[in-house]
Amino acid sequence: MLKRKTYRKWNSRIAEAICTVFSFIAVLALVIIVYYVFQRGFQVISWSFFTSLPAPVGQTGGGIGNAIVGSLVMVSLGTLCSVPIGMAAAIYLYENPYSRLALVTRFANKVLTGIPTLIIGLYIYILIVLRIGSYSALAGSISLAVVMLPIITLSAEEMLRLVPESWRDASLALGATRRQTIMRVVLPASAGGLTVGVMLAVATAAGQTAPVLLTALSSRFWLASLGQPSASLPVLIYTYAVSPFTDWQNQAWGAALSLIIFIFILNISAQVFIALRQRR
Amino acid sequence: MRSLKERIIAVFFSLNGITAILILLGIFYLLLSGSFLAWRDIGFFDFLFGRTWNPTGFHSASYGILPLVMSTLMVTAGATVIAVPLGVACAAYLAEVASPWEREIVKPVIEMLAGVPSVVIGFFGLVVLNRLIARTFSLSNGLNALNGAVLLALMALPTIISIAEDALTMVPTEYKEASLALGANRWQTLRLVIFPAAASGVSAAIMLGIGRAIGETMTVIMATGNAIAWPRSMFQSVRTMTATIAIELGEVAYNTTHYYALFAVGFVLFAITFLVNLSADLFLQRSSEVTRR
Amino acid sequence: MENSVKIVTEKLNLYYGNFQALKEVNLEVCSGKVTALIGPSGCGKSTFLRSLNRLNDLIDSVRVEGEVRIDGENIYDKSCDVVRLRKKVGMVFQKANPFPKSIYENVAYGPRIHGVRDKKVLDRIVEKSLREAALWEEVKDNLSRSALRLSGGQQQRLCIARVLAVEPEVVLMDEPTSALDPIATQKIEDLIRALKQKFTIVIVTHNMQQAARVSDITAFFLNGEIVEVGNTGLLFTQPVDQRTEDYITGKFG
Repeated sequence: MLKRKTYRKWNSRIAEAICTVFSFIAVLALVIIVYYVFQRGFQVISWSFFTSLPAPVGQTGGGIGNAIVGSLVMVSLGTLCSVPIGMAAAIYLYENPYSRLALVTRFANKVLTGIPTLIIGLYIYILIVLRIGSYSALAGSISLAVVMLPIITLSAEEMLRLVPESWRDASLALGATRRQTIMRVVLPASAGGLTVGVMLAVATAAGQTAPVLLTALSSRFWLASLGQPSASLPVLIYTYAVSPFTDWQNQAWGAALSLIIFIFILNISAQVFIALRQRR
Repeated sequence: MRSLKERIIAVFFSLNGITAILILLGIFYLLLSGSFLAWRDIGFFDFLFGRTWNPTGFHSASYGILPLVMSTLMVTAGATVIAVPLGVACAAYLAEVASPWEREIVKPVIEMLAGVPSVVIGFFGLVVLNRLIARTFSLSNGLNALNGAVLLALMALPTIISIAEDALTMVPTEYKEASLALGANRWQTLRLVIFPAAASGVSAAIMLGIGRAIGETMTVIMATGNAIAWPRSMFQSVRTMTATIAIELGEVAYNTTHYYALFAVGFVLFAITFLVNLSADLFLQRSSEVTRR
Repeated sequence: MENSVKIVTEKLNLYYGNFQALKEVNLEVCSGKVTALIGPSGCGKSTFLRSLNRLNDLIDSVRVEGEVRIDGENIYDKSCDVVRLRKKVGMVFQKANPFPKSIYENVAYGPRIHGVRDKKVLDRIVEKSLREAALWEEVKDNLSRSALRLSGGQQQRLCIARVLAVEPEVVLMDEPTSALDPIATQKIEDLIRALKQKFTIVIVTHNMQQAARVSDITAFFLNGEIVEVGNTGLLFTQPVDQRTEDYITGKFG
């Protein structure tokens, strides 16, 4: 009887150990990747790296300035488009949680988050790039907006629902309409959570390559207008990484480092914020 | 008594709400209509079951999607084999074994792993994993299905872990307490009570992870070698559906069969990920019904 | 203020889906008096209270039959403006729920949503309401402080001020002191006694001593029905119905 119990106890211990080890493998993976990117990328980055244009093909030197600007512009524009629509959609879902339209909308948003972003890029390529006749930063922005929209909508609805019902009841009991209650109580109360959702959507958009590649292509010059192709960090990383030039590969590491630092800052801020709220 | 203004505002909000529906329908329609044009020329079954993808063939072009599908499946299967045990074990660790401070460290790290862009992970595979695999298995280069599988596993891990962990923690503590009170230890409780109760949620997590892997583009482009071939081993260079679309779209001429064939590949990809996500959603709904008891 | 009938419920029935929570409730509430609703948990007193400002509308499965007439108008009539109703009939909740805003903004919320924009007018209303709620002296120095920083008793008085700011005629209170300590409770009970001259007050309480201290009329609810209603003093000393006497003497509840 005792032997079986010990056997079970050791089984349990081994299983727990395996779980722990596996988890640390996952942690280790991230550490290794980040270490590599830091190590290779750190040597390359400098102020001029961030602010200069790429050098002519074949020459060494130059920087990723236009890619940074391109990414900034397209991500910002994408955010500007998707946030109002996403918030309005979230408010609609919050006001009518059980209507048939709401169920379909929620489902559509969930599906949209699972679709390969390549397909979204293909869609905008057909819709806009072919219509206008050229790759453009505008098309890139819109493809990023489509990527961001469902993320923002779904997380915003969740944040709105987290607002305690008692505040909603109190507002309605004072004679406020549903709309006034949402605008003046629920929305302000959930502002922090909503911001976190947007930050995470921005982080996702910043790292997207496929949709931007298919819609904005790339460029070796400063962005002159929204109707022209544009460079972007992820596309630059890809182009340089697969190229045969060592100098370009080094620059790719620098660009990769810049990109993940930006994304990590957003991610960490979001997590810190969530942790603070839970502590309250 | 809703004023006209209230009603206009309500309609405005609902229009925003249906934007996602419109986008989804638009994708479906555009891809499908392009696919029809392709299937008209190629033949639906030749497309779906053809064993050769050679659109720029000199004598005759063939548009069989099967090698692409097989490549995608092979890389995804490899990723699943790696990511599922790791991910589920990690979820179990976070939900049951880890102490609060351990959780505080591991959870954020997993979230950050989720944030690493696919192009950076692909870069890592292109340079680092490439040499590692080549050296370990004495190959000329390490750009193959194995490379892609490992990287896709890294990308699917955070999805699997976070959703599976949610499912495990949502199991009512009453089940756990009842099991422990009967004398079971933690592992038995986990295996016999918690996991079965969370089965739907964990399945959903795995499916969503797989869905993520299937839809990845940049990672596989950079790491799998991109040679169109019928995949026979993990050490072989393969080309997935996503890679095909991304690479060939830039080279193809407008309005040709090849052009529409890419739409068709996109449609198949869309359909597969749609179905995977749909099933995952159904499993998640079932899981929330179970735990609401 | 003349003691006239303010609220009349006639054959009020309320169903949550198939469950009947209120059965043929007929009650008259007079202005200028405090009416207490007592009874064991789940007897329907809170449900009844929420019927008076139609807050039950928020629950999907609720069905209401019968009439509730306030100043002669049936509030369940299709033509009734719920927004105006809730301005007239205010509610204070069991757990104080001030908005995550400043003290000033909490009190100014009601007037603002009803259209008041002038800052001077709002200032005046805020001060008046806080004075009426016996909170002004304690908070007047820093109205921009977050309302969540106040103590439980102060928060509840703030919620009362918030209700008073929209100048209601009726104030409904759903167990307003059940989450408060004795001293805070006493302050609120004093407040209720002061307010009854200007307002019609209906208070739900599970604390019989409180009902005895504070109210003029008491109604005893049991299983969704009113068993007995009458002058508070008489009800507690000479209850007519045996069930009332059993509840008062603690045989159940």
